[in-house]
Amino acid sequence: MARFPKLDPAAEAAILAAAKGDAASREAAFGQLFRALREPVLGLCLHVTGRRADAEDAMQEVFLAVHRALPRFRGEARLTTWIYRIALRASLRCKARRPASHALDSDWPVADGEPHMAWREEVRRLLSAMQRLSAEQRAVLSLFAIEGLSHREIADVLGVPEGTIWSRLHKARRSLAEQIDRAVIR
Amino acid sequence: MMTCDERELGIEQHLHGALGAAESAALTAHLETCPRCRAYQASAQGAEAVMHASVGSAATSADWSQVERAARGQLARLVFGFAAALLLVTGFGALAIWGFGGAHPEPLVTLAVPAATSILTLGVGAWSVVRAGRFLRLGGSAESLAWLRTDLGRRVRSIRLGRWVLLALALGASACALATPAWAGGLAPAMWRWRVVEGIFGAVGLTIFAWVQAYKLPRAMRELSELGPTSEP
Repeated sequence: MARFPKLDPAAEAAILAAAKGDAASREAAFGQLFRALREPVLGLCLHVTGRRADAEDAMQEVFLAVHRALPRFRGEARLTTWIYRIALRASLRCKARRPASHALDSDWPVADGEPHMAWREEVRRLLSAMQRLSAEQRAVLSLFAIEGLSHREIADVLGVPEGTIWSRLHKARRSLAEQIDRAVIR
Repeated sequence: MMTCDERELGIEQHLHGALGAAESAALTAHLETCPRCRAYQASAQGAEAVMHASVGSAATSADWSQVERAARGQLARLVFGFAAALLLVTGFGALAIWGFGGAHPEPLVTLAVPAATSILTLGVGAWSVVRAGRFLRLGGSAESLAWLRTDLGRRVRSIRLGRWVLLALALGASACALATPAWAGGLAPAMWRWRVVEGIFGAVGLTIFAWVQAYKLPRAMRELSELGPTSEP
């Protein structure tokens, strides 16, 4: 079962209808959207920025933008596609605000029962390697890591044909493996 | 006959359930006999597992109500920002009217500096509103990151050019204010007021220039370099 609650087109339509209603239904629609998308948006922001603090800043920007613009959303794309696009941009912006020399998180939260040190090192190594990839490669890897996001939706978020995302994913995966290997050799 | 390199793409599709039944069966048979492809599959699965789990850990410890509160806090800051910009423009206008004091004591050409500064401030305000709208449109059906590069490139060029226009205006206003400073004695009241107005225009303009130079432009350029130079095919 997917960890993230899926927002299907019917649920999206209901949220959009509520968002165009009175203040109370707008707030309810926003709350529903926030609960449904907060985890995948956090994941996307986290993988693009590489830092929890930046990811949380980006999330605030995303949901602020969504809160402001939801009643005016005209539905040219799916609601989730639009939000992931905003998240991608907000993450890149937040990452750019941080000086390149700024270290990645060292106090990564670890769930109970996991081998703490090894796990932290694994996450740190992966996020650190991801930060050396191009924006396109980070974006495609991060979007593929969102459970329940279809290939069509990933292509829509990136604005490329569906076939292109596979070659991008493959290149990104190879670059990531190279970066991880380099870090291990060092 | 496909090579293992060529099969890697299929392995990605297989992992994400995008391979047809026949291709999937052929790939599964190949994986049983090929350690290299199995290693690639394990590496891809491993990377994704770490990515999924890192989100799980972050989400478990996230204070969602704090995130929501902070988003609302940003909304308040945005409203405050708009109010401050409106106040600045209104203040500029009020200062200009106060500076005239009923009759303008100098050649009409000196009007150009405060008028241009006010127009520039209004223009920047309007441009910010348009940009906020563009941020949410996100290029429609165009390739997202390529569109962002173009948009940001335009923004950096505008900031680069705009800061020199602003500096020229601010220096012009400051030069006028310092030519016969307000604190010099013997100035007619209308002239004195006008010197004060020019001094304020110059100081505000120079402050905005310093902020653009030290913060706004470097940040926009870092954002552009973060996107990288080229779009991938």
